[in-house]
This record gives sequence, structure tokens and C-alpha cells, in this order.
Amino acid sequence: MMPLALCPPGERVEVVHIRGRRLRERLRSMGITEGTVGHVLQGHGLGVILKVGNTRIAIGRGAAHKVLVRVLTPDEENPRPLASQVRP
Amino acid sequence: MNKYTVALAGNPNAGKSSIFNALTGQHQHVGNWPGKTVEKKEGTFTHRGVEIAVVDLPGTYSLSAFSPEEVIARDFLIEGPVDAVINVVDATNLERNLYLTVQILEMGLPLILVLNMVDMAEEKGIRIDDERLSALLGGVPIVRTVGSRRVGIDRLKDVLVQVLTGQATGGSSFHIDYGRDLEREIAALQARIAAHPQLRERYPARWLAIKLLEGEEDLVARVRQVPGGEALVAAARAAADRLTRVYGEPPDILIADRRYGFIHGLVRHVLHQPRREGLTLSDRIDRIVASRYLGIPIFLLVMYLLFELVVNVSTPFLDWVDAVFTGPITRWAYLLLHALAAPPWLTSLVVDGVIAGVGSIMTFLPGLMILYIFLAILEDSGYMARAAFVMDKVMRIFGLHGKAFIPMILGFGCNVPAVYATRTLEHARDRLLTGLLIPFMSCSARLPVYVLFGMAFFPHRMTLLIWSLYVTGILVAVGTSVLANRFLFRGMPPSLFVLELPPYRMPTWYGIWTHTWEHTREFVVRAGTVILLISVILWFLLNLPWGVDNPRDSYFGQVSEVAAIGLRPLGFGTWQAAGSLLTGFIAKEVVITTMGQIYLGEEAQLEVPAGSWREDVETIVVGFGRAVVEAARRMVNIVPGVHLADGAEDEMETALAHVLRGAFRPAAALAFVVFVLLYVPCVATLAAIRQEFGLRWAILSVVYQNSVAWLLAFVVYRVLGG
Repeated sequence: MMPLALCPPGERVEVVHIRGRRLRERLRSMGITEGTVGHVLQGHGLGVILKVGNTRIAIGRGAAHKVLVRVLTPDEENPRPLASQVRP
Repeated sequence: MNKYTVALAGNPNAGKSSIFNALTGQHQHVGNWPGKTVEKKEGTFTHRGVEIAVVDLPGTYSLSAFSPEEVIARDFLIEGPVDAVINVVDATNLERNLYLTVQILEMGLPLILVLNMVDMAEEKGIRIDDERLSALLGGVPIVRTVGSRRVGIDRLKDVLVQVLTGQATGGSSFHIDYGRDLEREIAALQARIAAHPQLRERYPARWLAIKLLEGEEDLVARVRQVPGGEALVAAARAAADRLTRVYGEPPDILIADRRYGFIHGLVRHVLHQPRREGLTLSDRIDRIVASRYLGIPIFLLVMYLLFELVVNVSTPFLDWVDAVFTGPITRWAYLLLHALAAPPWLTSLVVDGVIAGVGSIMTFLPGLMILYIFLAILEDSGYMARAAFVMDKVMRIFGLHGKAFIPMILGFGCNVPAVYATRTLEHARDRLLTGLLIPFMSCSARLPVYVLFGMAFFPHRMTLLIWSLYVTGILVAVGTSVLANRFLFRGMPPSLFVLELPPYRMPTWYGIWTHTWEHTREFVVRAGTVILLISVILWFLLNLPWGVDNPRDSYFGQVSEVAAIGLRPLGFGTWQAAGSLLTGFIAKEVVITTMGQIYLGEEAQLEVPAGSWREDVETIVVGFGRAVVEAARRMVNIVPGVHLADGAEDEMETALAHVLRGAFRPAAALAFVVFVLLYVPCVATLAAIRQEFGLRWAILSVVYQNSVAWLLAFVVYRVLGG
């Protein structure tokens, strides 16, 4: 586990924890929450660009320090647990 | 015939504006950066005999009231009256977009789900099962569209009419199952709300119960105001405490988790998306444009090009407009008035008041148009959001949020929309600080003043002069921000930066044109009405009491004379300069109008200028052609290294510039433009600041700006040999 801010570009990561209520709600509304898998497009002193699905979210350096992620190995599938509330 | 109201809701960048345009047929700005549609836009159309008003809500990702836009959208949906909601959803980003959809459905409003940009989704191999999606959302009608090409709009109108007239449902049976414990608390609160006469009227009971459990501050405060509300809030709090004890997390997190889990599960059932796609073109562009080392240099280069273009390419056109106004138009006015046997005072009013005033302003139209075209390209291409990202760290050093950069860049166009654009910032602190800094961003109305003085005093260093003025404005803003962080917002750092980067798009000619035309028209309308009015009033003030010979003895001259005393230490303590600055309160471009009247009006001679029709046509037609060629030549010269033969650097100068050279010493001229840059913005900006931040801040803003302007102009004048 490491802060997103320190994650090198090119990695696939799973969001493990988001610190701070506001940031959590903000990111959640944009589709990033615990369990979300994304692709780090840019990660450097200016901040991080995380690609989730077809969306690119730019996250400033300060905010990126509050997002804890786990780097996925190339063969790992989408590890998010199934939500069980939908019955089609 | 019934009239219905429909709200248009959706995420930023979901293509809401294009659907709005397609529905109402109303021209409107289509932009690219998140949080664009801040003001309320309305349009109407009639379909199958049903009259429908469409209200375009601000683009939001959710309705959790974290930003003013979310509050605006949410309040309108509750208070309405809203008969149905059209929810525009980006088909390529279904999961994220549905978060808002679910929140609207929870309000119990009839909803039509518009899957927009389905062409792009297909291109990416995304398949969506509409029937299943509709069923899982409680039976909402779904319409597929491509808003930019008007695909699916007729069907949307049909479905909308069916929902409004009760021939189809809008998914009003929808609700999320939050699990046994939560549902029990929700049901208890819901029953209390349903029994309350006032709350029952105003809010959907289940929705309010959920919101109170979530502890949403502004709603809790509103419920408290209602008799019996206090007890309800206490009950909700007790319920929240119980849930927190059981789950170890507060209910707002639990509820959001369930909501998100529901959507995630739903999407798995209705969406087929090809596994892992490679990097798109946008991603590859971002590798360079948003990269660590190139991001900021590219940004600076873009800004440099912007100013080069505005200054160099616009001057030939400027010269042309000036020639047309002082030549043919003035001559025709004389001829016409002469033919009508108009008295000399009327001729003077028309020529010295109206034509001179409006003409001076029109002269600067080319520069403004080029500025607006460039801003439109930056915005529509998606670059603006990248610039905010790249600049965040730098902005943060001065205690600003990266997104504050967008309103501030807008401020270069016009301060008024820039002040309103501060609403895209989530925190009150960030909004206020940005709003106080915007007036230092040199708006396009100030540019004509710089160009005029540049031409008069520093014709060979125009770019440098204008550059330095813009930079001075930015530096003053930065300094102000540092001071404000030190004293005003101690211990309150700017909020965290999170921003969606829309995909790069090739700006369309139509988009650029609409955008540019909108701003230009606004300017022309202002030049045509307010400025015309002021020109006429000024002419009277200058010529009253009746029969004054010297404008100095006129009413206007007398007031300006008094104001000039305060400006003496700055090197331009003349009644003419003071008078121009006074009228600049109304709008900064009026500074030139006034100068045109005071300085040129003094030398007015009441005889028909020489010339012939042939010469007039030549001035207009051939002059324009020459301007185009000259502009093209200059455009090539901007590229470093390429220098076409410069020829004799022909000095473009207008009549006014010539007069000014006699009226100001160079150091005083420089002090004057610095003062124009920094002193109080126009009345409209002030009104915007008051509206957004209150009267207290508006007054503080005026006092602060005028003090800074005076001090800096003083320093410039003294240092440069006053």
C-alpha cells in the first residue's frame, strides 16, 4: 500500500482507502471509491492523472497523498468484490 | 394548452448543452471544462401541442450539496416546480454518470434517461442493454442520442410529451434497498415526516429521511427552522448514532456505499465493455502536455502566443477600422447633416459625441475578437482543464487552488463572468479569495487603453509594454493572495485539487464562432447602448452650462478638476485624465471614449472633411485587403526564426494617439496605464462581487484596489523620472 502521490506512472492500482470525508465524497461522485481500479497515466510533482474506465481524473499532489492504493500485478483481474443488491 | 417545466440535469462534459440547444434551438455556448454552465439557462419549445420550458441545471457529479452548483441543482429539483427531469448521461461513462441519476430518482421525480454520445460508445465497443437498465431503474424511459448531431432528439421530445401527459411513467417507483437496519430507521423517520404538515408539502418524505440520516448540514438547518423540526433532527441524530454503533461507520458513508454498490452491480448487468483498452490519443497528448517538465513551459508558450496574436495580428485591422470611422463615416455624417440643414450643435453632438465615442471603441474590436477566438479554442479543445492541473502546484504556493486558474484566465476576457465562474470552486474560502483577485486580471476592456498609449509612446515596444502590464496584474494578484493567506485566511489552506480532464476534441468552427460571436456581440451591444448613452451624456456635460467655450469650465471639467488634485503625485493630475478615469468606473473601455471626446473634441472643426466617394470605397475595401495581408505577414513573424523582410516598420497611429503624445510625459503615461490596470473594475464587476460575496467584500475590494493602483502608479512615476 502506498499513497497515490508516490505511485509511478504506468501502474495499475486499486484504491484501498481515501482519507477525509469531503475528498472521499468528491471522488466517489466522480467514480472513484474504495475498490476502484485505475491506471496511473501521470504521476509526478505536479499531481496524478488517474484513468478509470474512460474518465481521466486529475488529482492534485496534496489530494493524491490522501488516497492510498495497492499496485496490482499484471495478471490480477478486477479485484472489486461483487455488489450483491441487484436482482435483474 | 398546458405548460410544463422540465429540468435538464447531468454531469459536466456529458453533453448537456448540446441537448439543450437541440431541444430549444437556442444558440448557446458549448464548452469543455467541468462546471461550465453556472448561470441558469432556460428555453422553450412546443411539441405535439404541448408547451415545454427547459431549465438547464448546472453540471454536477452528485447532489450532495458540496458545491454551490450542487445546491442550486438540488434546490431547483425540490422546489421546482419540476414536472420531469431529463438526465443526460455520457454513454461512455455509464457507471459514474448513474450516481447522479440514482440521486435524482430518489427524489421521486419522473425521469427520462438520455444516453448521449452513443456514437462514441459504439466506437469504443461499449454495449448497453437499455431494457434491463430501464427495468433496474424502476422503468425509466431511455432515449439514445448524439446531441452534437441532433440524433434522437425527436424521439426524446416524443417520450418527454408522453411522460408529461401521463402516457408513460418516469420511473417513480424506484428506490434502493439500503438493508434492514438502515431501512428500519428510514421508515421511522419517513413516517414522522409524512405526518408533518409543512415538511410533507415541501419534501419527498423518504428522500428527506435519507438526507437527515446522512446529516446533510444545510437541510438539517432548514428543517430546524420548521416548528417541530428540532425534534425530528434529534431523532435523526439518535438513529445515526445507533447505526454508527452497529456498523462502526456513520450512516452517510453507509448510504453512499450502498448507493455506489447498487450502481456497480447494476452496471455489471447492463454494460458490456471490452477489457482494458490501450492508451487513447488524449492520453498520449497528456503524456506531453501534462508532464512534469513540459507542462508548465507549454502553458507559458501558449500564453505567450496568445498575447503575440492579440497584439500583432490585430493592429492592422485596428488601423483599418480607425480609418473607416475617421474617414468615410465621419464624412457621410457631415454630408447628411449638412443636407438636412442641421444646426452646428447637433452636428457637433453627432460627430464629436456619437461617432467619435463609439468609433474609438470599435477600433479595438479586432483585438478583442482575436482574444476571444483564442480563448474559445483553448476551452473547446479541452486544454483549459490541463492548464488548471499543471498550474495547481504553482497556484498552491501562493495559497490558491489550481481551479482558481480557470476563472482568473477568464478574467482576461471579462471580469464579470470570471467572478461568477468562481462558483466552480467548492470551498467558500477559495471562491472569495479568487473573486478578490480577479479584478487584477487585465480584462479585454483595458487592452484598448494599453494599445492606445503603447502606440502613442512606445510604438516599437508594444508587446513588451502589454506583456509587462498583464504580468504586473498577475504579480499584484499573487502578492494580494500571499497577504490574504497571511492575515485573512490564516491556517486555512486551499482545498484539495480534483478535476475531470475531458477528452481532447478538435474545436469546431461552429463552436469557436458561436463562442466568439457571443462575447463580441455583448461587447458591441454595450458599445452601442451604454457607451453611446455615456458619449451623449458626456457631450452634454462638456457643453453645459450652455455656451461654454472651454470644456474645462463645463460641469464635467469642474468635477474632474477636483478629482485631478488626488492624481497630481502620479504625474497625470490634469482634469482630462481624471475625467477619463472617472467615466472608467462605468466600464473601462469608456476611458478611451472620454479621451476621444475631451482631447479630439477640443480640436473639432466644423467643416466637411475633403474626400470623394471613390476614396471612401478605397479606404473601406482596399484598406481591408491590406490589413489582411499585413496581419498574415505578422502572423508568420511570430514563429521564432522566421522573419519576412520587415520593411519600414510603419507606425500605426490614430489621431488620438497623436494628441496624447502632447498631453502626457512618457513616465506619466506609464503611470496612467498602470493605474488603469489596477484601479476599481467596472460597475458590472463590482455588482458581481457584491452578489457573490456581499456588500462588505465589495467595498473592501474597491478600497483595496484603488489604494494599490495609486501606490503603484506613484512608484512607477517616481522611479521613471517624475
